[in-house]
Parts: sequence; structure tokens; C-alpha cells
Amino acid sequence: MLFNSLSFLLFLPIVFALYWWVNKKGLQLQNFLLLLASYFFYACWDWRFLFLLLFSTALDYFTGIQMVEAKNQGRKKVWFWLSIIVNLGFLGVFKYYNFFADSFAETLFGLGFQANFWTLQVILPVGISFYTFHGLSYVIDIYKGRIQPERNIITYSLFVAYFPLLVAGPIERATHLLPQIKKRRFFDYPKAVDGMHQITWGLFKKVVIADNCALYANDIFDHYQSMNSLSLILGAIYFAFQIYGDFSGYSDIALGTSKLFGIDLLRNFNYPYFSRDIAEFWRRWHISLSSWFRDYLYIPLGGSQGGMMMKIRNTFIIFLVSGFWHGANWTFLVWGALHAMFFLPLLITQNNRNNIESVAKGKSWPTIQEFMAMLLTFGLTAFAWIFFRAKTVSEAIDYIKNIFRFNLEGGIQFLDFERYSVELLMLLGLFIIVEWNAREQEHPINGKWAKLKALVILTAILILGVFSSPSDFIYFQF
Amino acid sequence: MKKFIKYCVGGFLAILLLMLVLDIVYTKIYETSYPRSKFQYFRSLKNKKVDYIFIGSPRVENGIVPSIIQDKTGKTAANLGWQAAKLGDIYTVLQLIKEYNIHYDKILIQVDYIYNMVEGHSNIFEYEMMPFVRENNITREYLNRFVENSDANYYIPFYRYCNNDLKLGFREIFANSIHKKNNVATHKGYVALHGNSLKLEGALPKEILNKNAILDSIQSFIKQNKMEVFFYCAPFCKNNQNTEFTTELAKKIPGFRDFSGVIADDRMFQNCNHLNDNGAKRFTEIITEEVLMKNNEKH
Repeated sequence: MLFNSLSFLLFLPIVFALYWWVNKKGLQLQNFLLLLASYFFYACWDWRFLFLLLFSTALDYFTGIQMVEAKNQGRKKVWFWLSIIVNLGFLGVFKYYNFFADSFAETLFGLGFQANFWTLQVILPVGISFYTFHGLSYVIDIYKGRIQPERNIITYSLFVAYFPLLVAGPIERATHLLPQIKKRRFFDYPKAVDGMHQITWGLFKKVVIADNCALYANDIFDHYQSMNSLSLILGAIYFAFQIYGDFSGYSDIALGTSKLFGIDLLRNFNYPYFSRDIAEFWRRWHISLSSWFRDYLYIPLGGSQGGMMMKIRNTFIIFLVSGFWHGANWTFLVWGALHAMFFLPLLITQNNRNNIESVAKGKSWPTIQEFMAMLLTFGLTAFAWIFFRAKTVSEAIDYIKNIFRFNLEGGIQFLDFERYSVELLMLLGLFIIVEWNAREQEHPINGKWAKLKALVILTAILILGVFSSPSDFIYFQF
Repeated sequence: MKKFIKYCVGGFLAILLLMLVLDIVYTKIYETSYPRSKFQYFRSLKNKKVDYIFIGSPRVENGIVPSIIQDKTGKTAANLGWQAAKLGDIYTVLQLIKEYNIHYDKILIQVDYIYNMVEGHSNIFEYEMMPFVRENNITREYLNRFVENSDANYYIPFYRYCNNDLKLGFREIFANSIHKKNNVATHKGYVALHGNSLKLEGALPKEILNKNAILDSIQSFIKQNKMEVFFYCAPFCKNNQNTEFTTELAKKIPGFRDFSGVIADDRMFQNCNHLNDNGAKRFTEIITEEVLMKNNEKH
């Protein structure tokens, strides 16, 4: 059930109405209803994977309690590692087994050996990377003594399976979401209206920005051999906006939907393309994942406590793992490695925490220096996105090689699906202006004229949206 | 909560009103602008006289040059061939010719392997027709018969434009509203293909259907409305398999004329089924001389 589908348009009001109707009957019933709705939502993708979700939930719930009740540290460790191994085992089997088997077979073949590894013909359970990380953070937090285990199975299950964040995040923390689930919610009109506006903005980003960019980006990436340098550069830019519109749009819809139920989710995006360096970019892009890796991987590895070499090592590990988290493909690893390399100069010169505040805070325009820094950062991220988008590393390298041929013959090329790029560039220009003016707020549809802004955005969705060939949310495959 | 329900209902009504207004505006623009699609060109012929009307698939669209007919006979012609058109589309065009009160001397319908296609329709004809689905019962009937979500397309305002956004959306409406011209009306429906495919081979079906219900409907409609209609088959390349199919087809359609082998030069073809610009000019000359001019002599 996609957020931008008619079925979700029916599902959401029904759940919303029932949810607030049972509000007077108590918190447990409200949570139970939300849990049933979440399971139904997930079952709409593929009911068979519901069992995987239930098993993962039960495992973490049970091991959480067992860890606290363990008589000694050794037993606690056993339960802890059991949960970690099973969780990562599921992720490994469903997401990475084929990748490792194929890569190993290829390596052996390269050495002159014939190896036929059995590969699994399974589909990746939607959202597995997200709910596994929910469970992991919960178990780690209990092990470290940061939180107490949740003894109410409904409450814990809802923490894992809450439908707005189930399939593509944000990756929540028990410390943030569980207290909200355990506390009675009351309907808050301003918050609900803000949620509706955020959903509208998310839909705009998905249906207008991402899906339009997808048409162009797909066309350019699919025919990159026949494209000139300008088109290839534009292709990378379009994909940068596609993935941003797609994922941040999804996150906005998730956050907005959750506000309707009186629950605040972690903010996942904070205008990342207005970043002045890569470090800032990672503080603004997929915030819930980067902070997850920081708290549960980077810091346990020693973070920045050791010497420079340790910092560099840990930075590379975190970026490579982050890349690999996205999928079982060398392209994601290269993408992660590139970001690590972009990050390295900042780390060495200790400039990675230079830009904490929003750019040009309280001002209308950035300075030339800020503008150039944003342009350079965007250029680096767009360059890295080529690897993320390409099917193989060699395809990405070919794509980049073709850019550096500096062939400008034909100028802005007429694409296969009968389009020039000019109109999309104009649309992206407008989008950047709107986002720039809203960069210090959560989303642009707020303030004095919020309802009018929402109406304008709805009109834009109707007129400029792509409905006939919508693309799936990119992050559903992760 | 009441306030929020009011807000949601208000929002819903605003969206509905917005869709209604957009639907009216879009439809009005498509109805009144300079024809940019084949269907708009077709509608522009309402209540007019066109001497010769050609109907069919892309083998008509890319194969008949109306300007040559006009040069040779002094009479007007219109090319109403559609990409991917099947007999169902042809029947609808035929019905609309009557509905639009288009006067003509002769209608020429191209039939070939599409005789074997009982199902299916042209998605291009479908989306080009979309702005005008509420115009008459014929378009409505077509919608019901061939298009998914036909009721949604018909009743929900602006749905048809959202559903065909890449073809009928903002980009096209903008071009229509500024009366940006293309060659559809200028060339009277003819679309030229250029060059040659490397591999000029094709194959007609081995078997021919015993009966085709849509063709029967077409023929009874012709009879009922006393229409002057001529059936023919356009040329195929030399290396075309199962050429006896057209011989069998001639037995099924009275007065059918087989031109499938009249152009032997492969340089005249873009691919085995479709003539290129040179081939189209050549074939138009042939059909003009063989059918239209002889027809004039009779009269």
C-alpha cells in the first residue's frame, strides 16, 4: 500500500476515525487498533512476511526482558548476542546472501575454479532494514542500561510495526517513540492540520518533483552511451532531486500521518542540499540512519576518542556500512566509500562541525562563499549519486567517463520520451526557491497563509504530478 | 475534532472544485485550440467536406500523403490512420465521421493482419480522444468497451487528464493554449517515417480468422448508412512471409483491393510493414491512379 495510492487514501481516514473513536475507551485499545492497522498495512505488501515481522518483534521483546532478568553478565551477553545474531542473520539471508554467494563464486571463477553456489530466489521483505534496526537499537539500549525493557507486548509491537514508519523509516529510537506510545494521546487540532500540510508537501515532493525527475533521470541513465556531457550532468542532477523528493517526500508523509495520531516521529531530512560541506550534508540527510550509525556503530568503535588513524578507520567503516545497508551491490559500497573520502579532509582538518546552524540564518541570501560551498557540496553528492543509481560500478564509471569527454554536441538533448529538459529545470528552480525560503522550518506549508499555500501545492500536484507512470518509493527496496 | 472534520471536508470540497474547474478549463482549451493531435484534427473536420478519407493503422498514418492526392486530383484528402489502431478503433472513427457530419466522396479503409485481432485498441487513439469522451455516445461507448476505469474517466472531473498526464497534461495544455502548431493538421494527418531498418523481414499470420465480428459490424454500419467505402491492403516489403493471408482476406471482404506487393523496392520501406516518406509518396501515387482517378473517370 503506497502512500500515494488510492488504497492508502481510504485506509488512512478509516484508521484515523476508529483511532480517535476508541480514544475514550483507553490507551490499550487505541494501541491495539493501531497495531492491527499496521499489520494490515504491512500484509498488503505481502502477508507472508508478516510472520517475519512477528518473529523479529517477539524475539527482541523476549530477549529484552531476559537480559534484564539474567542472573549474571554472562547470561545477559548470551541473550544479547542471540538477538543481534538472529536479527542480522535475517537481514543477511534476505538481503545479502545472494550478493556474497555471487561475489565469492565470481572470485573463484576469476582464480580458475568453477563454483555454483545455491542462490535464494526470494523477494526482499519490504522494510526489513528499518524494522531490524528498530529492534537492534532497542536491544542495544537495554543491554547498555539506557532503558528498561517494555513488558507490554502490544506497546512494544507497535513501536516496531507502527505503520507510518514501518517500510521506510524514520528509524525510531525506543527512548523517543516508546514513551509516546505509552502515554495517552489527545487530539490536537493544530498538530493534525500541520500533519495534513506536511502530508501535502510530501506528496508534492514525491508526485511532482521525484516522479518527474525519475522520467528524465531514467531516460538519461538508460541511454547514457548516446548522451552528451550536458545531458549526463543533468541526469545526475535529476537523480539527486529524484531521490531527495522521493525519500524526503516519503518521510514528510510519514511524519505528517503520525501527527494525525498524536505521535511525533524523528525528523529525517533538514534541507540537505543547502549544506555547505559533506559533514553538514550527513547531519541533514536521512538523519535517523546517520545518527543510528553514529550512536550504535561509530561511538562503540571508539568514535573520535582515539587518534587520527582510528577516526579515519571508524569514518570509513561507518560510511561503508551505511552504503552497504542500502543494498547488496558494489555500487552502494563505492557510494559509501566516496562519501568517506569527501568527509576525510574535514575530519583531518577538524572542520567537520563548522556548519551546525542553517545556512544564511535570518538572512534572505547566502554569501558568495556560502553559495559556492553549497554548490560544491551538491556537486559532490550528485557525483556520488551516479554510483548509487547505476546498475553496476563499471556502468557508473562509463557514465562518468562520458561526462568528461566534454561532448556538448546537440546542447540540451531531446529525450526519448519526447521531452526537453528546460521545463524540468524551471520546475526545479521554483522548488529550490520554495525550499530555500522555508529552510528554517520543518516544511514550507505553515504560517499565516498555510491553507492558501496548501491549496496552491494541491493545484501543483494535480497539474504537474505524474500519475500515469508513478515510480515506487526508492527506499522501499532497502 | 469537529473543527478538524470541517477542515478535512472543506479541503476535500476544495480539491473537488479545483478538479472540476481544471477539467472544464483543460477541455475547453483542447476543444478550441489549433489541432495538435490527430483526434483534434479529426474534430476540426466537423461539418466540412473532405473528398477522400483514409482510415486505419500506422500503415495508413505513415503511408498516405494527402497533399499528393490533392496535387494529382484537385480533391481534398484526410489521413485518419492511428498508431496501433485495430478494427475497433476504425469502427469508432467511421461512426464519428457520421456523428461529426463530415461530408466525403469515398472512405478508404486499410485492413491487413488486424483482421485477426478481435481484442485490443489503440492507446494513442484512446488518450487523444480523452478530452472529448463526454461529447457523444460513440466516444462513451468506446470508453466503456476498451478503457480501464471507464467510469472514473467519465465521471470524476480531471481524472482523465491525471491518468494521461504525460500526453494530455500541463505540457500539452500549455502548447495548446498558446496555439503552438505542429505538422498534424498541416500534413492532414500524415506522419512521415525516414530511413530504412537494417532487417527488412516480416510475416503475416499463417491462419486467418473465419469471422471477425467487428468487421461485420463495420460492414453493416456501412450498409445501413449507405457509405461509399473501399477496403484495401497497403504494401509490405519483399521478404514478407505468408503472403497468401491477403488472398484469403480478399475473400472475406467484398471489393477488397490487395496492394501488399505493389512496391518491390526495399529502399521505400522504413521497416517491413511501414513505408518511409519516399515509399509513402510512391504508394499514394499508385492508389490515387489505381483507385481514386479511375473512380473519377467512372463518375
